Amino acid sequence: MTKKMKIRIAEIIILLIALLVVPLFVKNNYYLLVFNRILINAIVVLGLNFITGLTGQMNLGMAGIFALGAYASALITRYANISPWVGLLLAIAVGWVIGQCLGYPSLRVKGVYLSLTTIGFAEVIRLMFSNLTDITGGTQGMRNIEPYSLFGFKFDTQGKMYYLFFVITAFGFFIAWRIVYSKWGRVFKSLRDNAEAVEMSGVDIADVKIKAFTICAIYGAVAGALYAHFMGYINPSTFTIDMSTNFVIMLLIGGLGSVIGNIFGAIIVTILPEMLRFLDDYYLITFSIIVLLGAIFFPNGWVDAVVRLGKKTINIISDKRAENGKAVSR
Amino acid sequence: MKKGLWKYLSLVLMVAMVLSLVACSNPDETSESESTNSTVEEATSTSEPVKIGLVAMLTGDNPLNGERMQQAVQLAIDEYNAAGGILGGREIELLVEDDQTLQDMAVTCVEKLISEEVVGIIGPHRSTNALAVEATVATAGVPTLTGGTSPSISELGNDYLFRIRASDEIFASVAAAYAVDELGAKKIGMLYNSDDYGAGAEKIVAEYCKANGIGYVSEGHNTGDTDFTAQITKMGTEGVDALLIWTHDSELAIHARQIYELGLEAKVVSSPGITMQQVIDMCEPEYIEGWQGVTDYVFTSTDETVQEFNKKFSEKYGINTELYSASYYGAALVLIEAIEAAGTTDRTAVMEALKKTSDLSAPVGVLECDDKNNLVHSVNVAEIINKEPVFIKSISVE
Repeated sequence: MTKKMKIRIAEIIILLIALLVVPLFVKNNYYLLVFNRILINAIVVLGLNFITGLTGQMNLGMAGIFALGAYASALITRYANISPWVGLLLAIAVGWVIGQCLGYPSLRVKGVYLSLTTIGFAEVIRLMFSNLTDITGGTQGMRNIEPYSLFGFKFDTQGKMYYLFFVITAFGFFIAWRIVYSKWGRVFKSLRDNAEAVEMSGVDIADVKIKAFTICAIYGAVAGALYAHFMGYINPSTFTIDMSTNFVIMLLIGGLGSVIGNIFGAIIVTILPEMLRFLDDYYLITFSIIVLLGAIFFPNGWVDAVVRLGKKTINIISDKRAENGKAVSR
Repeated sequence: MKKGLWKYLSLVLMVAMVLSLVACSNPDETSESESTNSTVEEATSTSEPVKIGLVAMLTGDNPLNGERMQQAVQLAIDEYNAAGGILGGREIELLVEDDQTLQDMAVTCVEKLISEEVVGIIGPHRSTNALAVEATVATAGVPTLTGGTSPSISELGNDYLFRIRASDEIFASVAAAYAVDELGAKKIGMLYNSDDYGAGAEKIVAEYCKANGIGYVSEGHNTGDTDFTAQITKMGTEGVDALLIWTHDSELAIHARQIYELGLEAKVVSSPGITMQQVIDMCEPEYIEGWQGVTDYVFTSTDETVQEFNKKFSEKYGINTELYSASYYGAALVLIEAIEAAGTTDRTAVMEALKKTSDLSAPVGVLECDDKNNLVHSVNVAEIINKEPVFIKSISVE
C-alpha cells in the first residue's frame, strides 16, 4: 500500500467517524429528522443515477418503486409478524423483480414514451395501494409500522435511526461508487452517448439496460423500506409524481452521473427548502427559482459548478503567484 | 492537487450546509426535545412570549384553506395580546410552518415546532397528516389540535391529539338522515372521493341506508379527476331522488357544473366544501342554487358568537368567514384558554387542561372535550341561495 493510499483511507475513515458522531452533538430531533430524510433520499438518487444519470433514460416512476419497497416491507412485517430486516430483504427482491419488468419495456420505448411509461407505472402502483383497502388500509394508510431493531436494540428515535441509515447509505454509496467506476459503469455511460456504437462493439444492450433498471429499482425499494420504518406511517397519497420529480431534481442538482453529486443533490434539495422557511409564504417559490436558475446556468449540476469555480480561482491565484515569483527572481 | 481540491470543496460545501441549518434557527437551543414529556422552561421571565405553533397547508393542494387557518389563529392571538396577554401579561407568539399537505413534511414541521419549544400545536389539517404526526406528538408530549375528521383519529387513544371538528361519522350520518327525514328521499345516490375522506363517509351512508331500508347506489372517483359525467349519468339512470356528494373542493365545483349540464334532477346534500366561499366562487349561481351542505359552520347563522366572529374577521381581512377560519379560531381559543387554565406552559398540564374543556363558546358551537378528545359535537345544515350559504338548522349529535 502506498503512502498516498494510506492517507486517503485515513481521510475517509475520519470523515465517516465525523459523520457518525453527529447525533452526539446534534440533539435536536428536527435536524436529525432532516438528516434522516436526506439519507433516505440519497439512496434513491444513487439508484436513479444508474438509469437517468448514466444510461440517460428518464425515469419518472421512482415514487412507484419507492412505494412498492415501503409497502412490501411494511406488509410483511405486519402480517407475517417478522423482523423488518426480512422486510428489507423482501424489498431487495421486489426491487429486482420491478427492475426486470420495467427494464424490459425500456428496450422498445425510448425518450418521452419511456417517461410516460414510468409515470404510468408509478400511478398504477399508487392507485393499487389506495384501492387494496383490505390489505393496505387504503387511503387511511398503515400505522404503527415497527422500527428496526438489532439484538434487542430498537432504532426508535431519530438519533438511533440516523446511525442505521448512515451505515446503509454509506454501504449503498460504496457499491454505487464501485459499479460506476467498473466495466458496467462504463458501458452504462457509453449507452447514453451512442447506443448503436455500443451494440456494434458486441455489447448486449438489452442485458445492460435491464441491469441498470434493476440496480435502480433495488436502491429505490430499499430506500422505500427504510422510509416505511422511519415514518411509522405510510399512505399512498405520499407517493405521487411530485415525489418522483423531486428525486429527478436531486439528481440534476447533484449532476448526472456523479456519485458524490448524488449525495449533494439529496442534501441540497432536502435542506434548502427547510433553510428558506424564514421566507414564509415565498419559500417554495424561492426554492423553485433557485432550482430553475441552477438548471439553466449549471446544467452539469451544482457540485460541478462549484468545482469549476474553485479550479478557476486556484488557477488565477497560481498564475499571479507565478508572476510574482518571476518578479522576485528578477 | 486537483483531486484533493474536489474533495475539500465538497467537504466545505457540506459542512457549510449543515452548519447553516444548525445556525439558521434556534440560537439558544437546548436538547430537551429528546426526552419524553419534555417541559418548556418554567423559569423564563414573564416577558418571554408563550409560543404556539401552527402547521398549515400554505402551499400544495389547498393553499387558501391554509391561509384562512393562519389568519384566524392570528386574529385570536392578536385579541388576547391586545387584552394584555396570558399568564400574567405574557404575549403569545405564533410560529407558522407550511406542511405542503404532505405527510413527511407535516412530521418535519411538527418536529421543528417542538424543537422551538411551542406549548401546543394547531394543525396539521388533513386526517392523513394528523395520523402521520400522531406518534411524534405523543412521544414529545405536545398537545396538538387537528381538524382532521377521519373517524380513525378518535380510535388512536392518543392523549395529546385533540380534534376541533366533528368526526366524518357525524357529518355523513347527519347528511343521510337529513336527506331522508327532511328531504323525503326514497333512493339515495352517493358520489364519493375514493380516499380516506370520501370512502369513510360512503361506508356510513351505506350502513344508514341498509338499516333504514332506503335504496342506495354509489360511485367513486379520485382526487384530481376532472370528468364525472359517467358517474353522474349513472345516478340519473338509477333514478335517485337525493344525491350525496362527498369530495374535496375542486372536484366538488366540477361536480356542480357537470350535474347542471347533464340536467340531473335530484336534491343535493354535499360535504362541507360547498359552503366555502372558494368553492362557491368556482361555480355559476345556477349550478348550485338550492344545494344543501352539512358543515361545521355557516357564517349566516343567527348565533351571536358567529355574528361577532364574522364581523371581526371581515373587518380585519375583508372576507367572510368559513369553516377553516371558524374551526381554527376555535382551536386557538381553546388552546389559549387551556394554557391560561393550566397556569403554566408545561405541556402535560396544558394537555390535562384541554381535556377539562367544557362549555367554551366558539364560532363552531360549544366546545366540550369528550373522553375521545373530540371537542365539537354539532353540525349545521345550510342551503345555497344565490351563491350564499344560508343557515337552516343546527343538529347536535352525541
